[in-house]
Amino acid sequence: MSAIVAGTAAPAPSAARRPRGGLFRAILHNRKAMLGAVLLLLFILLAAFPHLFVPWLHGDPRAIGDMPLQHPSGKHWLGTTGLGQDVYAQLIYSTRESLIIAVVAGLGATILSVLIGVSAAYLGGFADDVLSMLTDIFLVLPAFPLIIVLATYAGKGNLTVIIITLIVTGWSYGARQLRAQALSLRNRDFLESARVRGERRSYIIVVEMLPTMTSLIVANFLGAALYSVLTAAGLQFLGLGDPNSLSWGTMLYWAQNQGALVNGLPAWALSPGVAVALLGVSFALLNYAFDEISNPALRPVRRRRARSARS
Amino acid sequence: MTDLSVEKLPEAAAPTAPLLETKDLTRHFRVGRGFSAKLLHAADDVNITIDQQQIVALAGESGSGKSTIARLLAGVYKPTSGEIYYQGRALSSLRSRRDQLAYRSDVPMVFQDPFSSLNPAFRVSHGILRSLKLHGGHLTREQRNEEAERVVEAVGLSPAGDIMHRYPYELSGGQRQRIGFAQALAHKPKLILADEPVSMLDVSIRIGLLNLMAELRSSAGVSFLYITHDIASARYVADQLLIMYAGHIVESGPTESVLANPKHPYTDLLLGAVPDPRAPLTVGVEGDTGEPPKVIDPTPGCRFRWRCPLVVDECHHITPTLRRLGEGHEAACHVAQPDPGFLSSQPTNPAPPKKG
Amino acid sequence: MPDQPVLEVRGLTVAYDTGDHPVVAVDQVDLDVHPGEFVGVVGESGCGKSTLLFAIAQLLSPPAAITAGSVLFQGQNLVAMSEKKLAALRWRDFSVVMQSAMNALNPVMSIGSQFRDAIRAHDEPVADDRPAEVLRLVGIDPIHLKSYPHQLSGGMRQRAMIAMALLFTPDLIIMDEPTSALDVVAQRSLMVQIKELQRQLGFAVVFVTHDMSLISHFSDQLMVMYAGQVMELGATRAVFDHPAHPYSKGLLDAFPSIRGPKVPLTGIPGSPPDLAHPPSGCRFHPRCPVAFADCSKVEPELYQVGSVQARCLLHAPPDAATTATAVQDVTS
Repeated sequence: MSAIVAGTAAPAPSAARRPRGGLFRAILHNRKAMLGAVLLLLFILLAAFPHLFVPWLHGDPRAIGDMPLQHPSGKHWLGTTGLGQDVYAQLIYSTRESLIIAVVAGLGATILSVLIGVSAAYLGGFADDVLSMLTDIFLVLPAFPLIIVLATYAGKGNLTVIIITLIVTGWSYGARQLRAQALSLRNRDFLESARVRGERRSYIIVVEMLPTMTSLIVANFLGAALYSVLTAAGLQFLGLGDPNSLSWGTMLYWAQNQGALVNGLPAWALSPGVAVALLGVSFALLNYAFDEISNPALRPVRRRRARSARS
Repeated sequence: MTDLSVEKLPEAAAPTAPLLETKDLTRHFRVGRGFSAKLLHAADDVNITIDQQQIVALAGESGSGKSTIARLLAGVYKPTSGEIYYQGRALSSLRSRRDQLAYRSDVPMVFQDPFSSLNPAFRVSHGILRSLKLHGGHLTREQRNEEAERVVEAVGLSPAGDIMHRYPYELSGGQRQRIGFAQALAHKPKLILADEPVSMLDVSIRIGLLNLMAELRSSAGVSFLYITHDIASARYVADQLLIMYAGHIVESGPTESVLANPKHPYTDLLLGAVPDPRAPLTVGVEGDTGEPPKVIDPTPGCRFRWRCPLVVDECHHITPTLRRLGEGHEAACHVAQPDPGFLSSQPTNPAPPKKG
Repeated sequence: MPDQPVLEVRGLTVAYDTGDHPVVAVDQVDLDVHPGEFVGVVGESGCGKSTLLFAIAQLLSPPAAITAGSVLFQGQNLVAMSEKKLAALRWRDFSVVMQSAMNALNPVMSIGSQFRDAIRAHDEPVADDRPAEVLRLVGIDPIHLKSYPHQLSGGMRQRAMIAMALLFTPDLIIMDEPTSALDVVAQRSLMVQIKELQRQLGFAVVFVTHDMSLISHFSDQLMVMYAGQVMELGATRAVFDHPAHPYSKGLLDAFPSIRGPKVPLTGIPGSPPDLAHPPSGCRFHPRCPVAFADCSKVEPELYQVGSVQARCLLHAPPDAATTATAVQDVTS
């Protein structure tokens, strides 16, 4: 047997990558990530167990009450709507739908981005040309007018339609990014190594390539989720959602419709907006943090005076 | 210790067919689009022969086409023209996936960059196990794991069980390259294509891997096509040396013959430029500041003529082909001189042109 | 070269502030560079040679910082100098040539405009045709002032970098592996060119490389670095002919010879240490073929061994607190 031993099995010096299982720890150390994670966790709890936060409510938060347009009080923390519904209860219960939209539309857009972007990069040639052109077309389409048109024609108020239109308008940006990254990866030796040992193309894309792109894919998801939250709220605010649904955008619609601000009820008008913004912020913070975690070069450098190490 | 002696390889005792042979292997690339497209001649009419248990070095500077040859042999590119014969069978005749996999199992490749040749998302055993799965379908999972450990040990990484479970970033460059060799060894290859396997490693680590290659040749009977730009390392491990320039093989022969007695002016230039710390400073090649050309739509004639100190008129019109000028020693040059007495021992030979 | 050294580095230490504990990338380096001298700094990856270079040129950025030592350039301490005074010195009196010209040259500006940029940045008067002049000096046709970096070959780009460094005829040029991206023929001709320019213009050179065999024919003084420390320092020929440190010897032995007899070589097994946790005692001892008991306990200093200095306990003077149990002649 060969006596040539490559030294002891000692770890490589100064590895620049983050430790694998240390994702959790990495999040804990990063302030932005912590904040974003905490916020998101809060929203998830609100969506999953809304009754925990509104314990006095029995029945449907949309039930019409008998004291409309009340200011915030001990009984109704944020006041009541024009139909007497408790604003606070509505706010909490709306979390679920907004979160669902964010996650489902975000996921859908991301999956589409990955499929189209990565395939375009790996297949190259004519396929790439076609897919890239498709991406560019969708990128350039003015999203909001398109959404309005689609939503109006496809049936006002259908949540599924909203989600589909969000996916259709939200995938192209990510596809571009993913294609660019996949292109830079395409000539990496480990992919060529897989090819040389005889792997099929589909295997290479799915098993070898995608795992190395996880951070960008996750970042894409967070971005798409953010986009979905904001755009869905906007659509619903414009009245293109289901006016009977429980969501922040619909709350905004009704608040505007019933003159919340005019009637001196800012809590009703502003609280859904703040909720949307906070959810968006949590995604955005996680997005930044993910970048920093996976790319050490982006980490903020603390400019402490370096102490001399030699004794 | 390692066996480096060239004499042990029985050159004359092997009338068996060569392991791998190429015939006029050519690969062109299209550059530019549409009507202004031109052809980049990465490799033209390349003839290589590799025997069993032999290390053949293919040396040249960047742009010479040596990496293209490796990829042609690995099946990454298809030849524009010419053919590759493995154990007598033409590669183009291997149609079924099974045949192709069998070839890939016999002729794997080791890559240059230890930092990108292993997938960072998986443990280092991933490539080895996949290779075993693809090429050794009859093996059970336990057998695959055992075999993987065996090859990791065989390349000098110990303890194999521990190393196999690491991620690439936990290993040094030298260790990663050894894993690359282990991957190639996973299914008992006959010929390993090594594309500059040591050029990105620290100098002190290179020797270890070169020794490994020599050892694998002796103990496992594996041949190597060792692609490099470092002639000194080629001398250290290779039995045969091929010099490549601008897509052509310009000189080939047993390593010692080529180095002791270079026939092509480019070989001379290369040798003069190689620094050797032990040797005194050689007066030499100061005049040459040129670099190998990118060969786009070339005209006939020797591609080295712009830099050649011995150029004659013929060089501008007729592309030289490899001529036998010594025992197993060939060069593609109009003005190269054969070994004294060699011509008279050959059946027919044109009179060599006067050295300019 | 009896005059005042152009560069005097004393006890230079660079540490990276990385949270838990700082990583010392350069540890107490001393170096003298005399006018017109060519000093080679060799070492493998992670030895700190590039960091040293950046520290000398005052180009470090956080989290790396100079934590100790001085860099006297023509008598002035660069470490203590304000950015404004440094800017005045830069390029005029000392300049830097980077490793990859493709990364250092602006890809969207022509060579000529980059040269003029550099000239404008300093209010040192130069002749109008200085850009053309420096290009001629490095063997490039001045017509290429109009070319863009991607239009030049690799070798030409490196020469253009060197030409740019020569704009103000500095007294010292610091070069960080300028030849590593080039092929062997282009490498050699570039080195020859640099030596010729040195002869003509009289500047000193500090040249960092991992290629020991390349530097052997061109440098006057040689510094071998390992794990952030100077392992050997002396006249190049002396270091090559009689390496006093086992690491230098190991490095030299790792080069297969192209001309001499063919012998089996061993290289240096193992890999450079993690600078966050360097080995105790001598940093090279885990890989050293002639290490003995004290090597893991005592940190060697740079000891004078004939005409070179080596950081090895084998050469420690007898009154040092060492008990050498096995002494072998390293150079045998």
